[in-house]
Amino acid sequence: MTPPLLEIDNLTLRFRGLTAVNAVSLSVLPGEIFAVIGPNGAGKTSLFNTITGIYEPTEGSIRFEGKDLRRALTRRHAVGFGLTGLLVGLLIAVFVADVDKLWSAVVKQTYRDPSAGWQPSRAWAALGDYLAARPRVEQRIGRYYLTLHDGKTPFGSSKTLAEAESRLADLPRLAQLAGLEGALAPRSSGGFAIIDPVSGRRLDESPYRDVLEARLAAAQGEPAAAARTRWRRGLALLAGVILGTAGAAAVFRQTRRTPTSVAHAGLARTFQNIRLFREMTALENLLVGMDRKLGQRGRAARRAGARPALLLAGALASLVLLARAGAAGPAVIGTLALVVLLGTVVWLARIATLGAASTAALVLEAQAATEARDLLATVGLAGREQMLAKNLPYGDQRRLEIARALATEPRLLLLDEPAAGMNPSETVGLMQLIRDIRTRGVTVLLIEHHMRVVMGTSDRIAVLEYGTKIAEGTPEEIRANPRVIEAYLGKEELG
Amino acid sequence: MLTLAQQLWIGLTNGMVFALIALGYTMVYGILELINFAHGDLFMLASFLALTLVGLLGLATASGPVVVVGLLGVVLACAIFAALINRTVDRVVYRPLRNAPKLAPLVSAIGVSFVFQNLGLFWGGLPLDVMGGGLAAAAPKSFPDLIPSTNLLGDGAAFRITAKDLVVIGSSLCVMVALWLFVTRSRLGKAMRATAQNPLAARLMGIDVDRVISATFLIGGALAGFAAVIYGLYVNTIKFQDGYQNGLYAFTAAVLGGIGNIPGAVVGGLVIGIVRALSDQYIGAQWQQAVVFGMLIALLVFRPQGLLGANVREKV
Amino acid sequence: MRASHQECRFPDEKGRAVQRKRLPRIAAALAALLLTAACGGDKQPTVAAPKGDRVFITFGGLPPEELKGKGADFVAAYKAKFGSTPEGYAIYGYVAAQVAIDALRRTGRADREALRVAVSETEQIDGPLGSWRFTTDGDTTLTTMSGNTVRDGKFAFVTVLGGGAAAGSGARAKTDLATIGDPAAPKTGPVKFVSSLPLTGSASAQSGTIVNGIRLALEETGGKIGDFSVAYESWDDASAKKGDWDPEVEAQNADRAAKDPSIHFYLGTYNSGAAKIAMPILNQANLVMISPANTYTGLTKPGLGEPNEPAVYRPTGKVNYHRVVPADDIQGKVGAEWMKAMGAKRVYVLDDRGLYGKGIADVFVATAEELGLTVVGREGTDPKAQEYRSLMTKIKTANPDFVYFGGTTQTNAGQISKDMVAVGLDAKLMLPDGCFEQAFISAAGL
Repeated sequence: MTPPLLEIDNLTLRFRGLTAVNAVSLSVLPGEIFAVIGPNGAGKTSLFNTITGIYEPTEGSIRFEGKDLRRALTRRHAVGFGLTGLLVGLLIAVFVADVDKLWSAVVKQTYRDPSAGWQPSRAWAALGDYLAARPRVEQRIGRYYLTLHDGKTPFGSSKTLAEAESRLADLPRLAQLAGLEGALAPRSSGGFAIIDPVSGRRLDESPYRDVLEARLAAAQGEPAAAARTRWRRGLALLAGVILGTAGAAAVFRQTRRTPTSVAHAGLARTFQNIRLFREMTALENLLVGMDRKLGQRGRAARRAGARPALLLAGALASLVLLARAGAAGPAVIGTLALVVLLGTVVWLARIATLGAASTAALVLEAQAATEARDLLATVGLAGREQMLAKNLPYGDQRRLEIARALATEPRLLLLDEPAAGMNPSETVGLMQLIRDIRTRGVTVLLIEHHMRVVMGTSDRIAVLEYGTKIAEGTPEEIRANPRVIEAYLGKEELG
Repeated sequence: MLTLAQQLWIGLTNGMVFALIALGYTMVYGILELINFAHGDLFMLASFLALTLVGLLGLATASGPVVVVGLLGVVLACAIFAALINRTVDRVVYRPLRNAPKLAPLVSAIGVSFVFQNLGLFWGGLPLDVMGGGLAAAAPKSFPDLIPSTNLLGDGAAFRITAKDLVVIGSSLCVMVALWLFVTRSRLGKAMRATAQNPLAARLMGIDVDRVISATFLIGGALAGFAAVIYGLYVNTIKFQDGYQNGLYAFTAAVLGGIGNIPGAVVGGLVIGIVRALSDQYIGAQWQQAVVFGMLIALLVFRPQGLLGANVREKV
Repeated sequence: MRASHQECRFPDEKGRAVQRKRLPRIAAALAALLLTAACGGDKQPTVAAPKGDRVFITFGGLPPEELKGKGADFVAAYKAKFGSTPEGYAIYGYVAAQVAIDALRRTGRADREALRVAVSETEQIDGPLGSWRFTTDGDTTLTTMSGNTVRDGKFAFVTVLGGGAAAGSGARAKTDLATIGDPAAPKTGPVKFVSSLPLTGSASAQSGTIVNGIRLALEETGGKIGDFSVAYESWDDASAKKGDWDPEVEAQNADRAAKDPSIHFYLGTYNSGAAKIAMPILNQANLVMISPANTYTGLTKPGLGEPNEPAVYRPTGKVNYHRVVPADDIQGKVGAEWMKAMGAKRVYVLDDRGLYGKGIADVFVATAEELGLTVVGREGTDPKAQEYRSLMTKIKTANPDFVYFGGTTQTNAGQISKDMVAVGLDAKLMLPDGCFEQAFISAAGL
């Protein structure tokens, strides 16, 4: 027995307690026309929507050609999670580090003297100092303040930068002296001073004892407090990274089975209520269906040629550099500029006239248009290529939707009530079209109310009622099934 | 008569800038039904980058050809910068909310707008000469007058066309035509239109809608970046609140033309530019905003879908 | 004028024929553009350079360089301390603080009522601004103004306008301060000065310089006034959200000051609109307010503002608000006189529709008409507009010699100056003191 093309196993779909699809299992074999029927509200369209990735199943699995229809987790995704995490982490860390003070320390303080210009290296160093919560010297309105990690300035201000910096250098020594008896002593001239007992140097002085005591305490507490701040910032970064990475991964998990990934796997569908691109021509509708195919061909073609945009950017950059360096005379630069301008104009003109950036792309477009015309002819829409989709008659819109689905070159085509709203002669044409599709090698899964279409085309039929499969078999078996007759009794005529 | 023509000319020139920004609003709305409130502020950030680059390259004192080449470089850099920022914001902020209720990304967009405004405020405080030395972050920044604004018809002529006007109109038209060709002719452009018209069907046709959305943000951002340089050259002043004011007008332009409709945004932008100019001339400068928004209300009463907008898209 | 008119007329009456005639002209212009842009040569001068001075700014008082005597001493001390030249308003911050300090000295008690009376009876003789005192409405008697222009990216002094202290108002009788207020009020301890000025936003440079002026005056006391120790806090009444002064913040500041009994002087505001908000709040708390910068007439002068001004700002009926700058009625007037003296005949008047801008423009218009100047147009602008080319084109058709803009740097005076040039309007521009700051010059790219 051939392995099934589509295998639905125990599929359940619930919306907040309402069970739309209840433990349905189906398998569609390659080359078959398989119909799903059932009264209105039986869950047929929900089943389709689940298969095509619009809804995420609550339980159960859907396998196509033996594979789960999920986007693979590639290394690119993993890197993406990491980068998102890093970004979130940095944002949170900057936030925790107080963005205003950070700005002031890194930009404003490194630009104290406008005449000296702004030196990025100083800014980098200041950034490092700030993030590591090291004490630093800050200038405020003409004076220099020894600023602790939390922005406090218990040491007061100095007139000169050198003085402030020497106090900064004394800070560790002050911390050592804090516990020492006798470091703080009265001055002969009144007031108090802190004197280093080893070198005998006067580290600080003030008329008030409590001021000096506070300074000693601040110096002593600073390393531990700074370390706590560092920890806090580190933790914030880490928490942000974890949060960001987890968030990105969670978003990815929720979007692993998207309609796009399902379509890429080789499934295509039509809709009960037609969903064409109404403001585009019939031909364009098909070209959109061929988008992926064209993309793959285009990539192959592009690998051969160079990228004009990159060249242009490179040329401009080197020109500007040349101009800055003054290496070339104005005449040379002017000529080059004109050449670049002219090149851009020619390139744009080519896009304008050819509708494509390169000849290769043009060939691809033409090829695709031919294929699209052929496909339109096979569904009977020859000669209507340039009509807007919304202006086509109803039956033609249905055919166009089928053609568009076929343009994606699916292996399984899901048709959702293709005969809805068609007159009898259109219906006959549709039945022939469905059979033709099968002969193209495309398996068909069909939802239909129109029993003549169902019975006249399907190889096998499944019947749903209230989300549950109540029968499966050949048209003859279904016609004779008492449960099916019961489900449809009084609602629709069989056969 | 000549005055009318002159005002139309001024309105046209201003309208071009609004149109360029409006395109960013309308393209994103067309695809996501999201009003990207941060778009105007993105424009503002790009204008700050433009000014920074003009300062770093020393274009204000450079000779003619260097200015031309330098400006091309600045346009390119600003377009790329704004495009990348826009795409990153979409990736980081809007995309995780794609399946959330519509209000969630909308409110996030307002948040992003505030973040951008504050970034602009920081940027204005950068210690650069062009930023006024960074002393007053919020002060208006003077954008050097790189394109001559002498009258090409001669000094005494009653009608005034300057090289600046021609650069603004000409380059904006080129960009708009290129955009139009891209959207109607290219593969990605078709995918964009398909996604805008019916996102679900587009997904099921194998269109990578995320890629289309990224491309939309890239293009919208690039347009804002381009508009920012043009604006700086034309108006010669930028400030961190510019995003709000210009964004408001551009958004109005997009709504006026029919939000989601690309030619509509251009028409809307030009209409607003011209109405502003005429209102200044014939009604009075203090009524400018009243006239513009009054016109918007009047139009929306009779044509809720905007000038060129299609009727509201059908829903499942 | 007429000849060029013919050549570039739009196809109205003559239709296509005219249009065809115009095309070569545009083509030639385009070619010229490409040539100048691409083929090099010297860069075009930025904007058609005006012959002589184009922008004129009136200022209440003299610019720092023109100050004499104690005023010059102040400038020297400021330079020594802060390493930069003070902006125009710095000296008013300095004087406002001096007034407060002097009142506290004379009173010797931290009592709000006694301090209020002491401030209102201030008399400076040969102070940094010359000799002056407060009127019973809290106005300065000074009327000296200066006319300035911009040259080489700097303000340049042109002339003295108006003059001296207004004559006629005799010295006020002095009250015995010891008999006023609570005799048991503290005679030592801390006394707090606060200032409420827009430190965030585009007026920050002016505010910063005022704060420096205040600091300078307070530091000259050595931190002690009598037995009081002096503390000073500089509050911001602007918000980043508005990029300018914010009514909410100003109201918060005033509330906070009113409720804090250790605060005895409220130095501010910078913007007259902010003063309107703070005045009634502080009046009810009987807290002295001294503004170094408000110039809107209605704040103090009955009959020159709205009908209910200034009574509406004085719910208690007492005058607690004082200003050390001359108000707009004087400035608008001297502006018009100066313009007349420069030979102007036609003037187009714009204002930013704000309290300050509209007020000063109103006074200007009244005086201008009295002096026989023709006011060819009067219009309000949108202070947030991106550019004013359309408006300037309209003004151009009115053909004025002068444009007067009642507004500030924050309400886009810089852009107005730029767009006058951009549309080839060769009238001169006169601005009031709200633009007398370096930020205006850089915003206007002058």
